[in-house]
Amino acid sequence: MMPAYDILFKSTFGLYLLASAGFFLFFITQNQRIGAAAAISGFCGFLLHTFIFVYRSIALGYLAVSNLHESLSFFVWLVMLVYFIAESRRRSWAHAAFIMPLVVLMMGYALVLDNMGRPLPVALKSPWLAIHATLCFLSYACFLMAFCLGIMYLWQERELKSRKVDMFFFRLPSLGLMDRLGSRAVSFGFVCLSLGIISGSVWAQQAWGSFWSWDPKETWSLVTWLIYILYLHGRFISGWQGRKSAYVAILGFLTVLFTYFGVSLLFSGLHSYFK
Amino acid sequence: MNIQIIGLNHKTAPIEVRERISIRPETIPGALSALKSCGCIQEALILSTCNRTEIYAVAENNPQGLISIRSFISDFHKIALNAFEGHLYSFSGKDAIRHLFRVASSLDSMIVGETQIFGQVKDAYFAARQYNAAGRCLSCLFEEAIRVGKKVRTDTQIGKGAVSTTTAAIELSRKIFETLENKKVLIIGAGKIGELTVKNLNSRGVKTVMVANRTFARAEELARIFCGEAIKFEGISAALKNTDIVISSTSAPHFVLNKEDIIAAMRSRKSEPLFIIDLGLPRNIDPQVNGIDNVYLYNIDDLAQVADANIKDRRKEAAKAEAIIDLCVESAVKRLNEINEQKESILK
Repeated sequence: MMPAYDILFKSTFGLYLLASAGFFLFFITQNQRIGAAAAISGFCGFLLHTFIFVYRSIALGYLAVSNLHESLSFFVWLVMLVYFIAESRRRSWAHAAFIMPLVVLMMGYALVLDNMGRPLPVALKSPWLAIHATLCFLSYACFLMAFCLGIMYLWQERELKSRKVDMFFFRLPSLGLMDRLGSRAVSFGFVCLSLGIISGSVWAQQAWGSFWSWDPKETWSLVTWLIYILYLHGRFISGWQGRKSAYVAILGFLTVLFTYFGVSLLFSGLHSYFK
Repeated sequence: MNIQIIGLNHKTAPIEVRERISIRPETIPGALSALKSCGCIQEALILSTCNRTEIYAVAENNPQGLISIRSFISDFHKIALNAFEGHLYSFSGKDAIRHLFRVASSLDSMIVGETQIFGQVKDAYFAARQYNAAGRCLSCLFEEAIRVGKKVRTDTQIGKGAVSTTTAAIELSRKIFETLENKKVLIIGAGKIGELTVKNLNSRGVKTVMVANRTFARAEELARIFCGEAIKFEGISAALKNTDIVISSTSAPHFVLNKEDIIAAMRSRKSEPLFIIDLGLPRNIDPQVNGIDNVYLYNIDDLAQVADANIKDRRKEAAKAEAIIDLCVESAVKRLNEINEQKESILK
């Protein structure tokens, strides 16, 4: 796009990288000042990110999600948003040490991708674009949270089961809290994904003339949706809280990653604008 | 002009000596004015806790100051000097500053990292201020010590981690459950450690307590203490359905709860986490129970191991704290020298 966008995007990446390193250091040393500094850096990155994303969307005239670079940027922005909302009351920052490396990876990937804004295909020019993309990426962001919480949970659980207080004991929140937050993230994400799929299918009917056409993206979204159904069912009907839930949350997010990256890169289909 | 400390603590003096030398809070005003009436002492402060009694003074002349403080202790408590002299330590100048900083940071405590001493140092300082015994030098020094104590607490992990088995049990339960409020405890067997652990849990918000014991009368007795409910020994399995924390300390020769009991209980409670503390010897609960999902079983050795690991961690953190103190001592020495020079120039 424009050179200013490039510089600002790199700065955002830099701030996130700094925050990630800071949160990692905080996790190791538990020094509150380092944690606060990392949070400030992350928040500044988020503000800058908000600015460039809004700016780009206004310049393009539609929600900037038309290629992989833009959609990654939007996804990361939502992850940060969900994280800051979730953490606004607690401020324990243990979480961030797990989320930020993923954020940095995705931003780094977006950085090397072609960021040229190409004209939007006619089929995509619709208010449904914003609705559908926001709902889907919001659900991905929630699932990413649940994924990180699942990993944290399993680590803490292993330590408690082995009866040896070690690395994670003081650094991670209680099992009960991680379990509850994880389930909340999945529940919210599930609602968003369901609405995202429905909105997509309504839009597909308008744009392509059929609600569902077994496009790889659609199929894999359905697989993802079913895995999270399994999560919710296991949890609320069969008493699968704790470890089993954490495993399903991790599996679910791996499917999300495949739906997002794998499908876009491996198959060609109706959603291949993402290339 | 020099800062001097004379005192004794748990490392140098047995309790018999400490209790005789200790200065109770209500006698501190009198003691401070007695100290200040010694001609060579300009400022004074008394820090007296159950583990230490220390007198801080700013005195004109080095040996004379120390002798005055020593004879003050002997006069004040009406104890012969030779009865306690061997237990005393004394510091002056830079060493005195370092000693105070270490005390305020809880490095010199019996349990390194405990938090009480910080408040006690503060109280001692406020008392000395209130009775006009602490002047510019001691005020500067103690305010610095309070700052150092805070810094050590925020910059190191010295106060982290339970160092006794009972507190380790509490800490573990707080790592399993999000909150202890409204959690239900079941005590099996009316043992002493069990009782102590429940008391601790109670103070952290645990509300409902159920007590099971072979002799029902004893269960009822204990249940009354915790405003809890006594249950029959045969009713334990049924009670597990509504329990979050089990503390068992019976002297039964065989397992009171085996794997099957817990599996059945977990099914009826929809896998809600269960924390089991087995304080019995021989063990009351089948160790295989720990393999069940969402069940956490700790025996007395496991708890001790947790506490030991924390003690080791505190030692590591203490090394960091010493480094912080080293830096702070240097700057405190500089500031005190400035105050001294100002005073001397006024005297001239």
